[in-house]
Amino acid sequence: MPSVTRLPGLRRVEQVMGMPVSLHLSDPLPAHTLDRLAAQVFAWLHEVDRRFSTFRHDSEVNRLARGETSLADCSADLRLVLDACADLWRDTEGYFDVYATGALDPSGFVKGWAVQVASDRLLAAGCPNHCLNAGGDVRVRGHQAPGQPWRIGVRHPRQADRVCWVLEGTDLAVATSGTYERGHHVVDPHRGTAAAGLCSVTVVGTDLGRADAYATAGVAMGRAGLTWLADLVGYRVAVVADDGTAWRSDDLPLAPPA
Amino acid sequence: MRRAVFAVLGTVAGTSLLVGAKLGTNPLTAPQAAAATGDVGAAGDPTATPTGSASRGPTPPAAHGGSASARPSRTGTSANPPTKTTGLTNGTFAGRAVTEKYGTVKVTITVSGGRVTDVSATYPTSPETSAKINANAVPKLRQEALAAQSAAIATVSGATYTSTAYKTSLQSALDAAHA
Repeated sequence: MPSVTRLPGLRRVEQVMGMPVSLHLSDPLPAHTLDRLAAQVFAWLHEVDRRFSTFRHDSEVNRLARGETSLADCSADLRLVLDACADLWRDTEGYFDVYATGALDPSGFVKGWAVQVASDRLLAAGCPNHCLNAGGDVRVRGHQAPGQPWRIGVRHPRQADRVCWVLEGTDLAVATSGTYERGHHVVDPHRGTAAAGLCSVTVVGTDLGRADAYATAGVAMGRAGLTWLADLVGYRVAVVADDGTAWRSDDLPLAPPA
Repeated sequence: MRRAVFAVLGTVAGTSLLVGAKLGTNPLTAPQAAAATGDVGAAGDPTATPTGSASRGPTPPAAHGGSASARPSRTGTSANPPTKTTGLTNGTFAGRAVTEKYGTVKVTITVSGGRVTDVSATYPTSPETSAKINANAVPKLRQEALAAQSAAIATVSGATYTSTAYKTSLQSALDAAHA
């Protein structure tokens, strides 16, 4: 009864920036073209890791943090990142703070931004149907199969093998921040303590860097973040609170019921 | 300018701008299985983990976001006393096979003491892709079969996992199923 056909495209998983990154290119392009595009995506992400990781002593971010280079000598990319982070600090009432843990750490924006850039480049390179997932932050464009927009599950915070929501779209950035995977690692920059109240915050929009930062800020805000998240312009949210209540925007792009 | 485009449903406070629903803690609820199988349903609210929240519907949002918020009329079912009155008969029940994107899924639930104690799903082994899913992913995807359409999800958004956590994640199952 079921007829299963092998879909064209390429799927690849690589370890980058300390996390598994899954790439799915669903354009029916020649294999060598898909290979080249995938190689470019992962090369870019490795480059971002070298330059922006706070875990690498000689990264550009750490050299700037130690005062070994000046802002003026930094790369255009780093200045762009720091400018965006400054905007986000303002937009999030200080809850997205690259100095939340003391030292400069823009990773809360960098990961989403790097994936966004990779997706933009794929689009520009003639690959408009793709899905890139870096450790749970997702950027999709186009379709996963002919006629089928991408479907993205939002992980259940208490059960790794279940999803709370299924989103669907042809141009979505989906970022989730939470306390369930690595503990209460998000710091409330105003109190200097671990954030609590919301165990999973998913932000959906078109810019993954901003979505990622908003999700992190929402977790940092705790329960009060619910109303702040509800008011975000151009972004939809899906939230699970510590008490087990689940919340979502009315216009969250949910996949139609099966 | 900020906008507020959120609806209020059920017992969520009127001041809230979000659609809310109580997240279930017990994944093995018959209404979900019913949604997937089509003929083990009509079981009422068998969950034995009432949380006391007035807004808790019978189906956690795991099944689907829409269902999470669309059942305000079921308010109060969480007051069900445990077992016996859940309307579930002890035994093992096979659901009707449902055709999913990757093949035909058949869900089986086991009821004991009035509670659903186990749920399993089987996939066919004949087509190549389904065989791979069967071999690599069913243990991780089986509850997805309950979540109506999630067998067709391409990827999963979640809080950043460690490499170790990835190995047991749904995302890794999806990657393995498609490798």
